Amino acid sequence: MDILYMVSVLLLLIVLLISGVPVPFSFGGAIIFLVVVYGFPPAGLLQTAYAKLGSVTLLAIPMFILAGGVMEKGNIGKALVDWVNIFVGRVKGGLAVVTVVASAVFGSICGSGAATLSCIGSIMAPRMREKKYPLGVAAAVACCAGTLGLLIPPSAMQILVAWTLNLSVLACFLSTVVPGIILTVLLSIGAVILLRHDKGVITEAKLAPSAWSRVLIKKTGTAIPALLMPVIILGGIYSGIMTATESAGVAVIYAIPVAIYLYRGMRWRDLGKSLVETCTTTGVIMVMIGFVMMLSRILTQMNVPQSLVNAMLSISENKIILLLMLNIFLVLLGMIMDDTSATLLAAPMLYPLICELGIPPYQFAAILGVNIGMGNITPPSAPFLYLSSRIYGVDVGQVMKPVLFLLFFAYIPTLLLVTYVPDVSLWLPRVLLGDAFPF
Amino acid sequence: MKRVMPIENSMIWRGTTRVMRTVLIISGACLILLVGMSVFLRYVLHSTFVGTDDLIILFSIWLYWMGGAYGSYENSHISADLTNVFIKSDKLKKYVNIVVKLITAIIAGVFAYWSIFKYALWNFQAGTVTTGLRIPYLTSNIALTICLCLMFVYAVYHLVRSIFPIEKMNGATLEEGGIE
Repeated sequence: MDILYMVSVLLLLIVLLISGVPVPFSFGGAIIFLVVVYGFPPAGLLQTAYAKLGSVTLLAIPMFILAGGVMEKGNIGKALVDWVNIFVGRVKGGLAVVTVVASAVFGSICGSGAATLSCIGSIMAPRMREKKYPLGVAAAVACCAGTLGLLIPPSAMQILVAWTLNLSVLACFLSTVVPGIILTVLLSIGAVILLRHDKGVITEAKLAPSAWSRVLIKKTGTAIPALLMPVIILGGIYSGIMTATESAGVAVIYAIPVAIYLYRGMRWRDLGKSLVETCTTTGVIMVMIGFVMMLSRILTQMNVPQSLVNAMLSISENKIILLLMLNIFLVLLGMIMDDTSATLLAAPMLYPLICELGIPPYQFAAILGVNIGMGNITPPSAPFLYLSSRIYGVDVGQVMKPVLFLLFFAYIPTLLLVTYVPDVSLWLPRVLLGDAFPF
Repeated sequence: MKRVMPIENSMIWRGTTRVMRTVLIISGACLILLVGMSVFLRYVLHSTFVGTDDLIILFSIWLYWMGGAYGSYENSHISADLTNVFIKSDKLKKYVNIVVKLITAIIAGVFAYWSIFKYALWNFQAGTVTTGLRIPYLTSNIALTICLCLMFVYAVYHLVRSIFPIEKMNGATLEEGGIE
């Protein structure tokens, strides 16, 4: 009977999500069903949402969103795009590579993939249109590169993983750096391959070495305040001076004068409006987390994670096959859910299986990161795909084909590397954290 | 025929949205200052302010839930919204939209009910306080009740507006505060 009810809950959740009911209320529907069937006390569930959200670690997420919001409105994206353009802008399909690399760099100052996509995409779209780039490919590259914001630290998603599984935030951040770099390289190569036969694309003229050096010095000077942001954030946490939450708070305090006085993208009077916008974004995400935590508590009380482990182990005990099944499960989850709820549901559900297989938790954090990032661009629920189509003004159909190519060319190989080569995710934290990282 | 003033132009509607924006700005600003201050105190002045965590949790809970309520007002909660991809008929889309809004309002209504009659009453009776500054927990967990109720109100509003769009209401104009 329990299995029947669980399948009903899953179906109800999928139907509500697909029909367009907002995500928190879709989870709310599933919670109501379980409360009616099993009699869980509503007051206890609401208290779970309250207590879970009252976590100081979790406060890093709104702080990074605030910092990213201020940076996004403060013309910082333009400075980064111009800086990256000096290095790769003059090769064939160079602006597509600029999109990928600028997204990776912007990802290092902002914890959100959507903010990365909307900021870099809206800067690159008019430039790529002007240089006669096929907009379907341009939108596909921006859409795939947006997910780098979820992999390159600071990442809101990795904070969630660390918080849910009680892991070190810094080690989680570091575990996705190498996969993020691999993905950046593969997406850049993929973008160049997609554009190599396009004769309409206009490539920028090459500069003489002296002129190039002058431009390099000027643009680097402009970009330095933005590039200092990851140094403050990661340096602060790594040196032990600040916790992740404190470094996020300091990032906001740093971002405000940089955006107002250095990049002049906003004024003091815009700050209130910007604060309301970013607080609303934060609230929307945090309320969703609250609802997912209520459902997660019910599922844990019903021992669903252990049942899932038993079910998977009953199919096969081969580690390679189980890891493949885990990835397929995560890809499917990413196809129907947004990144936040998918992370919050998948992390505690699959963690017992990970322990059973003897996989280090930080490798699991990286597997989750790549998978859930990919979920943002795989239909039917593909928010980045729809957002980039809107930014570039093209039909989703035109974007789909190049996205599929980039999925197979860049995402799948990265995912396989992260899944089957532990060092891809564990090497950097091991090198930087030394004895403090026992994996 | 008597003209009906759209609810968006009423004083209570505009006042509520103004209060929500004010709460968001104050909570956001206080959180930034509190986190920055705790770093400054600890690493520059080598001292601590007991109770920072109590204040951080108070403001963060208000920020999260009020942000969620404001998201309901703006209708900006994340949704998969796949009906627009698969359904081509505008008429069918409209009906599906009404059903989705109705389901959302029902779910929000259940949570609003629970938040008042199960959660708030339980908290009133408990009367516990924080360990640091001895702030009653009620000051922060009442945010859930207020904001879940606001979410319900805005869910009903969006349901009504999906059936009766603003432009069809006796030619009355939306002066300010409207969102659609």
